[in-house]
Amino acid sequence: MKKFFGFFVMFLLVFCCLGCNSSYDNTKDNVDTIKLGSSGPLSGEASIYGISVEKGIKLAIEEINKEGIKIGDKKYTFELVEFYNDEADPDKASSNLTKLFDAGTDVVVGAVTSGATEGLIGQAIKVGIPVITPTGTADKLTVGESGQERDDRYNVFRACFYDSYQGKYMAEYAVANGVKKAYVLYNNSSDYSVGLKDSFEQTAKAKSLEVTTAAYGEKDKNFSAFVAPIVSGNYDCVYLPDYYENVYNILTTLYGAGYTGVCYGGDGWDGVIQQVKTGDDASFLEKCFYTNHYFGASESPAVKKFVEAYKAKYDGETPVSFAALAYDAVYIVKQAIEQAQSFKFDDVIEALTEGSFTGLVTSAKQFKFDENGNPQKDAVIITFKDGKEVEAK
Amino acid sequence: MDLFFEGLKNGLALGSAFALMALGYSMVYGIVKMINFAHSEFITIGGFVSYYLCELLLIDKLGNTVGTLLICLLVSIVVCVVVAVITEKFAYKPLRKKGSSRITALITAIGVSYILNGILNAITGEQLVFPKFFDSQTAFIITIVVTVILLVILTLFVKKTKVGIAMRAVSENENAAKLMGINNDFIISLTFIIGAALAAIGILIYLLSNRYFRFDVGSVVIGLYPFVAAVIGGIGSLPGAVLGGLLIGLINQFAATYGFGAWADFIIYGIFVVILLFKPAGLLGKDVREKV
Repeated sequence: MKKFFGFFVMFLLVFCCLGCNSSYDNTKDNVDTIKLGSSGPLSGEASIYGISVEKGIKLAIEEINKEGIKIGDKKYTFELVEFYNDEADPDKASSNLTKLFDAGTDVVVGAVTSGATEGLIGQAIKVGIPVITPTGTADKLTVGESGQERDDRYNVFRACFYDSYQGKYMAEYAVANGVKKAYVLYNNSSDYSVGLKDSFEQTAKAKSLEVTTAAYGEKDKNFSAFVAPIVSGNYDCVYLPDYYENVYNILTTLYGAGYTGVCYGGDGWDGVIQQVKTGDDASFLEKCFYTNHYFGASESPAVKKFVEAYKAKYDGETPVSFAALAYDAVYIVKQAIEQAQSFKFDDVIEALTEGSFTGLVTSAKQFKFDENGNPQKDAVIITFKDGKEVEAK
Repeated sequence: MDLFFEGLKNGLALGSAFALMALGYSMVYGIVKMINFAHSEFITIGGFVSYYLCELLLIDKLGNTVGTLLICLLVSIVVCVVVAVITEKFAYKPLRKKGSSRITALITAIGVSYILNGILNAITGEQLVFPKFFDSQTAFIITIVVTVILLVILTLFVKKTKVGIAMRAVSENENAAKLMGINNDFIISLTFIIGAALAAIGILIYLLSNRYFRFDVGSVVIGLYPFVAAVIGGIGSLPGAVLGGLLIGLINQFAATYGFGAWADFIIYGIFVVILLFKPAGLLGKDVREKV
């Protein structure tokens, strides 16, 4: 009985708290800061991504605050309420959103991984707070699992391109480069890999490219049997949508078995170059191309400025694409607020939906968001030369 | 035809490694009637020892030579054996002395497996790349030769030597063996030692052609294959374990070669179930009814 009473009290308390939340009054009149909040993995397996995003966000805020954001005659600065750790866990991300909302956050720049972002969005669409995820690439984030739920998710945007865009982009690139017969070897235990494969296959077939697909599983680490049909089948292009560890393994096996064509991949390849050990013959990488969000060694002034500022702030560390996207996401928010001349939830969302954005690290040209909250920017195609990554023409 | 030979070659190489690992499962089961799930961790430990020896000490001094490989082999056998003996002494033996049920021993084995796996994961969760020693052709030949030699030695040992005969006696009837003056504890420890040594050899052979691995190589990537191989061949039977290992390796690699890689597990476990239905004792196992 005592236990039951305890539960009862707990429920009462919970309801009280919920009551407090919904009656929360967002008074914005007398503040001169605009509150940003974020959530991402700062510990655990995906922590390198979260840490990069946090660094990118902080750098952008620091830069923007030097000038300030003008709304009417008044100047505002950004304040980062908190970068909460979600350990890439959807439930933690969801409760982080509640914490941010309660703290009076105006715009959420997060979360980092697709799974956690989905959790965060589930809560965000209930309160209508604008969310821009710098790096959540899963297609469903802005349109829901069915692809039809954009109306519910009207407040969700992303700064990166979405997964299936990359497959489509690479298939078009393949056709443009005279590929006739393509082979897709994908990891059927990874949503990312399956998504890229589907869109590559679809686009390639629509452009009457001959495509064969084959899957491997989570456990497969020896690819000599998987590459045998590729070598004997005279394919001139292999698409490998997976993360760098598997990719480098497959590439060495494939070219080791005598394959002579090209290999294409997605942004999961970011890191392949670090897999090459001194003494390894990795000249085959010069036949490999992958899509990415930005190219760190690019000559573009925006990229150069960003990389220099990042290195100066973080002890010479080279920014990865996660940091660049986070940095851009904050700049997108800044431009949206300036265009809206307000930072009320709905005004910011409208500005994101309608406005166009420019001067970013991850997009050389001006872009708008499409009707699904995805930025309409080009991917960068990266290849390798003399052991370094270079931008493909 | 090229594809066929490619599949055959890869299948036999992988199957041989599975076979050596399956022998460990099979022998331990034969003697103590317990599935030693920690065996998969002995496999990983062997891999880690060989890898770190190469990376930290040997490659710089000796290069990618057969000598390096032999040192790795010896050291990893010693380490695996020590771990196996410790496991047996502190986890399994006390249970046996208390006369606990088989299910307790089984659960303990799973527990030990997780403990060892946790330690390995704590050492490193990253993907490791074993150095390249031979091209695939040489690796294949070495694999086959080593497997055949070991199988012959092991069979002779079990059939002809005194200790081997004692082993079979313990496996047939533990109590009667004890009455005949056989030191059961010694025989059981010896079985674990042989099993662990085979695990160390098996993983080294596996790493010759599968150079990319992580702490989960024994528990997930290789996983249940050696155990299933032992059951398909007939648990307790040495040639059976080898047959089962080769069968699984061949199916796995042929499936991948012909573009059905993702279906390999379905085919393997399908055959596994069918064999159990029609020949519960396995392909080469003796159909012994247990008396109640």
